[in-house]
Amino acid sequence: MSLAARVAVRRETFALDVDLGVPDGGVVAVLGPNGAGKTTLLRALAGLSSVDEGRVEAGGTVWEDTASGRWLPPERRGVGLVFSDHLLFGHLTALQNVAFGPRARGVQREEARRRAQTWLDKLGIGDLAARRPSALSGGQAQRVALARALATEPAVLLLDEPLAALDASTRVEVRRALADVLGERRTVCLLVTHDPVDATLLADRVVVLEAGAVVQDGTPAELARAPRTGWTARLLGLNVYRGVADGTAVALDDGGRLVPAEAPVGAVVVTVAPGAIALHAEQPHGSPRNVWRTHVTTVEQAGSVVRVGLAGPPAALADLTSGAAAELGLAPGVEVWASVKANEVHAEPD
Amino acid sequence: MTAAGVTRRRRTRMPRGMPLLAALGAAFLVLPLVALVWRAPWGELAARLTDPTTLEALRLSLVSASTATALSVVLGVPLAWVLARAALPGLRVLRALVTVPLVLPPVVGGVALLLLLGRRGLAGQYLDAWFGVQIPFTTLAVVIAEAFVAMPFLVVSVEGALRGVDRRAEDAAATLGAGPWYVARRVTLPAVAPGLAAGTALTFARALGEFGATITFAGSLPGTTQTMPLAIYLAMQNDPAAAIALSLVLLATSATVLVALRERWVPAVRS
Repeated sequence: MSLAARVAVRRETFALDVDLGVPDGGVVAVLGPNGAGKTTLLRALAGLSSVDEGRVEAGGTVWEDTASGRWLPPERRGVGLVFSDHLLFGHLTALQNVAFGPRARGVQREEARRRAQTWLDKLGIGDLAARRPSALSGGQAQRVALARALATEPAVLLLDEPLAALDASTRVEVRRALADVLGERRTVCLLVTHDPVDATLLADRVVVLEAGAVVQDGTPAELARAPRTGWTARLLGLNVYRGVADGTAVALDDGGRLVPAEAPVGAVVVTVAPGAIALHAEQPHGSPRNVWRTHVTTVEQAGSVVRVGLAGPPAALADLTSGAAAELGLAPGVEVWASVKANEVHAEPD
Repeated sequence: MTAAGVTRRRRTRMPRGMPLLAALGAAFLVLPLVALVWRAPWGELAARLTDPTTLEALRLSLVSASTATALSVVLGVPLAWVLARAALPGLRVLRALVTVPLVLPPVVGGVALLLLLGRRGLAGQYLDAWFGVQIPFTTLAVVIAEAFVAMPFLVVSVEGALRGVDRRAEDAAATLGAGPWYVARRVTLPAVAPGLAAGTALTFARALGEFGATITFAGSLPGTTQTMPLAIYLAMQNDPAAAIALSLVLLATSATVLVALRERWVPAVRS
């Protein structure tokens, strides 16, 4: 179910021109400032807004080709669309919402209901089938919306900030449900997000859009290591680790350990902002709870800061001012001490 | 004093004299109905209401108002749809034109209908010459007069409801495999159901009470075009007690329709 798309949209005040190829099962995070054209791109791929020039092919079917004049309406493309506000049909139950797609495609009522129930079960909300959207919490409603989009087995799943409207703990749950269904499917997924954690945990590739054009394209790690613009640097680069906490410290899955200010017990996601990591030529003394010796792997200028890659463990990205970087003589291979205060290390249950 | 205290005082503080004027306003609207109920000939009401002429007028009123309402829904919903959704030049002019009957004196509407559909009317002369069809002074004319006056209520309320629908829900439905008609039936119409119900109730009430356009365009022939309002007006000339009894029936019918629609729709929409 690969996707190959070139989409050019020209409006009076805005132009979008994006070339995108995604292999089977690929999950691409689309990042960019407001007005960069992220939503326009999704709507164009879904056939909901017109494309001035381009071609969209998914799973071997041409959905749109302005050169030949071919255009499939949204209902005949295999796309699933999820918004940040779930937009469930208020007059239908959760089950009827999920069965809507199969029913619209001509599946018999009983069979559609059976499929809908299967999807609700898969997303862990099978017991809410009879509820109306108004009787669902934000996280539950968003899972129903996800089930509704998946129930038609789309070739391309378009998620427009699907977690943006959820509170922190619900977000973690829905993100995990999303990771599960994306992991097991060959569906291509485009995920518009503002959250670097979502991009890092869910996507295997990140596309950065600015003013209607792709300014950077790569794995989350590549973009974080060498962001091309200050905007990307601020957004990406958050150090995200998975690990197991014992109440005081977290043993990270990829080696090393970090002491957070507050550690739960069990599986956790740990985040450290790159600006919170300090580098020293000598072993630092005093308060930092986390100190480790490592060598520098990369040094990149990103806007006004210098982004330094550290080999670890734990591997990390650290942001320094140009002055500090010059003073330490930072270059790939140089040995340094890294430190971070416990209250800059955030651990949340995974 | 706390901020909450200030807010509460602000909320309840009204300009002096406003409650008095409000009470006068309410009395102005309610007292006439009280008078109608008060002076009703309750003793002979049963006999009055089972009178064949009364039943005939009531039947005609209900049939013609229902038909006019159905016609308004079938034609008014698509019209509201186009007014709310289409991107056509001149749409604002069209919107203004189709709401003219809202403010037009109904008698003028009746005259206008005669000039279009009367035997010598713009279209009526051909209906007569080619098909031998004459519309004025028939039950069909009653329905047309009522629909002409009442349909704008439906168009206005459905158009407003349609503007409030989140188009992205329709977009989601389209990506789920629903074609435009399927989206309209299964997503958009349910979403505007409260507005449609309110519009339908208003349209029916307006059609039921129609007088001016009906008497001008359809006349007042008992059994054919003499609806309740016409019967009441005529009865008032020589038999006021009969007029009061008929008025009560019309009042009860309108109230029943409004209450029934509220009971039927409003709770379902809130849940």
